[in-house]
Amino acid sequence: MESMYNLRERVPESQPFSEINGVRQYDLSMRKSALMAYQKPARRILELVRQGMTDIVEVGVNTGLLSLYIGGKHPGIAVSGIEENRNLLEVAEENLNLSVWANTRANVEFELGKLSKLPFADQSADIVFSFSSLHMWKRPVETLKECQRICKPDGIVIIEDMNRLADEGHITFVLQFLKEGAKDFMTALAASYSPDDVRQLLGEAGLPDWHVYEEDLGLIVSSRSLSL
Amino acid sequence: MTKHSLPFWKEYPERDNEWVRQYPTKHVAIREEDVFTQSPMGIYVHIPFCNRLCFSCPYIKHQTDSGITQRFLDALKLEISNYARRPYIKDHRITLGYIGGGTPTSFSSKQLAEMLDHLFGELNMSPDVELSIETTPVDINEKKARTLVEKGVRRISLGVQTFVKQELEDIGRPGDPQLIMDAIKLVQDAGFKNVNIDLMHGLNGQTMESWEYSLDKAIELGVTCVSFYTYMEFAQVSTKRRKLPPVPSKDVVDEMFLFAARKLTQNGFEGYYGDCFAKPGFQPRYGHLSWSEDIPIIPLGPTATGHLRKHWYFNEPNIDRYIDIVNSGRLPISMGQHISKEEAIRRAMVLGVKASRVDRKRFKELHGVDFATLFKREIEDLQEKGLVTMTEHGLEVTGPKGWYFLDNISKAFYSDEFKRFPQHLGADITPFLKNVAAR
Repeated sequence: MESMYNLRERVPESQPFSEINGVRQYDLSMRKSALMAYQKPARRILELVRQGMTDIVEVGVNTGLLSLYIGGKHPGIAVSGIEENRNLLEVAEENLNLSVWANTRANVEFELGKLSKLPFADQSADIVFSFSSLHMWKRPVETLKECQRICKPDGIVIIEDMNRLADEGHITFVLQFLKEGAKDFMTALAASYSPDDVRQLLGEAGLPDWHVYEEDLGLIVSSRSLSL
Repeated sequence: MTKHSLPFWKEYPERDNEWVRQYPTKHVAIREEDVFTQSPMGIYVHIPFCNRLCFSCPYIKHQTDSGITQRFLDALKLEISNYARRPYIKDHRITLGYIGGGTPTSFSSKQLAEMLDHLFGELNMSPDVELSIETTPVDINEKKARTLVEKGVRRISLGVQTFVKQELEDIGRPGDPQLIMDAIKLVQDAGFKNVNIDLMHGLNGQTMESWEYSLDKAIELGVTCVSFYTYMEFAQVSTKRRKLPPVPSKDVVDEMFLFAARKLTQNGFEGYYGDCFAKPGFQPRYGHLSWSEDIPIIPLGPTATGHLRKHWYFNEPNIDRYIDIVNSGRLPISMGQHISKEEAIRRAMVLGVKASRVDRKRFKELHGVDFATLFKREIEDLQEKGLVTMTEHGLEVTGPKGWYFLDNISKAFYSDEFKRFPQHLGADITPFLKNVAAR
């Protein structure tokens, strides 16, 4: 059976989110309608939080929504988000400003930095997570190694993004509801990895034991096994 | 035995002196009514207006606005007339109809009468047409209810959702249960013998006790159909929703489904479509006939879906464009597809299962195949899972477990190719398809 969509080959995005108003539009649409997409990853991260944890790191914060959500739920834990796209970081900062003004209890900080050189000490984070960012990473193998480096021995790395080769029915299901955002969605999907691509990246990063799961449209990479 | 040495013409017996001019016929008495029988057909009318927009409802609809409603009604009448003058439509009689929305009764009683008069005046409406309409407890009054009954609407469905005051307020509905009970009484008194109410489970703050209270109220009020739906929280960050109690956990929501199925069957209701229950004799035939029997449906109004002449299609969703197209003299058909014999068979199976049972003999009459043979693998798998049973008559979905998983069961019969496509709900994904020309 011939595929419906042109997604066989990965097509990296040359300059994702290169325009600030486009990012604000994306942020608004995520907040207004696509927050559904954040629910499962948010729940998975919250379920990993244990008594005594002190530090959570988000690698590629997008517009900061997930860090703010997790931080708000656990004000005793420091949540640090690193983003290498200036426009995404700027909107994340705007969101953070608003939540500070609204007296958030969250202890959240965002910082511009290279994802291939995370500004954290070895074995310093209890949870290292990422959502909808992997497909934009400039040097994914190095970033995966960095996630491993900063994660505590009993901590966990969990990275979620779209699966370019997800069942086409899942792609269609989401696509039919997107309207204006449909083109950006398909561009991001084309830049996303397949499970095999990710296994190859993990191999190159010296992390062959990490786990790769598929869930609907998503791809979940984890340093420990998860019961999904 | 032919002898090859003989000339060809010698092989023939004597020349037959009966001309072949007809095919042999088993003659019986026949009347003109048998030759010119009008096949049954249905209509679906979509009225995309609501007098109040509920923040908990994800469907596309418009605030009722007298500036556009009359323009819309005029266009709808033109669309009806456009269909009505086509010979194919004239060859059918309308035995089924469903008027949905939006809230169809956001029309005034005068507009409702105008629409129904036009339908009955233009189309071959059967005198016993099973015509249903949707309303809400606030958008119906005695005048509208009497107009509907007088003009031929036989079943009315009210979006009640819950009889609990707080739960009503939390989904942004007028929070007076008495108003709902009065509305049900009002439609019953106006002459509606078949009254459906929609209820929701999984609402913010809902408990098993409050769910049972709503079900008890429904039974007590003497409604003939109860349909229930699982509430989905769409607007998670809405400031209106932030302070609400949480929705019940999935386990509780599941149990609410099974509880309602048990309670309603114990109280004389019979299940159909999984989450719809009706007193015997009051089950609407719209779904069953348009799905299992493949009765064609004329779609009327924006986003309405239908299937006619081997095509499934939906109408232009944008209301202004819909009005413009209809006014230009064309039908507002927007997107759809020609349907192959194989997909028509699968569709009949998918939708037949959705109507909870598929009759083997009738399926063979309609589609020329034995579904039990064709879908042996899928059916055996579902039987092993305890979701369907096969009898000598056909397939039956096993309640209540199978009713709960009805959509999963139905989708088991999707073809590999078509399960990748959207249901036709008004979305256009063609710009993203690899090969648009091949569709």
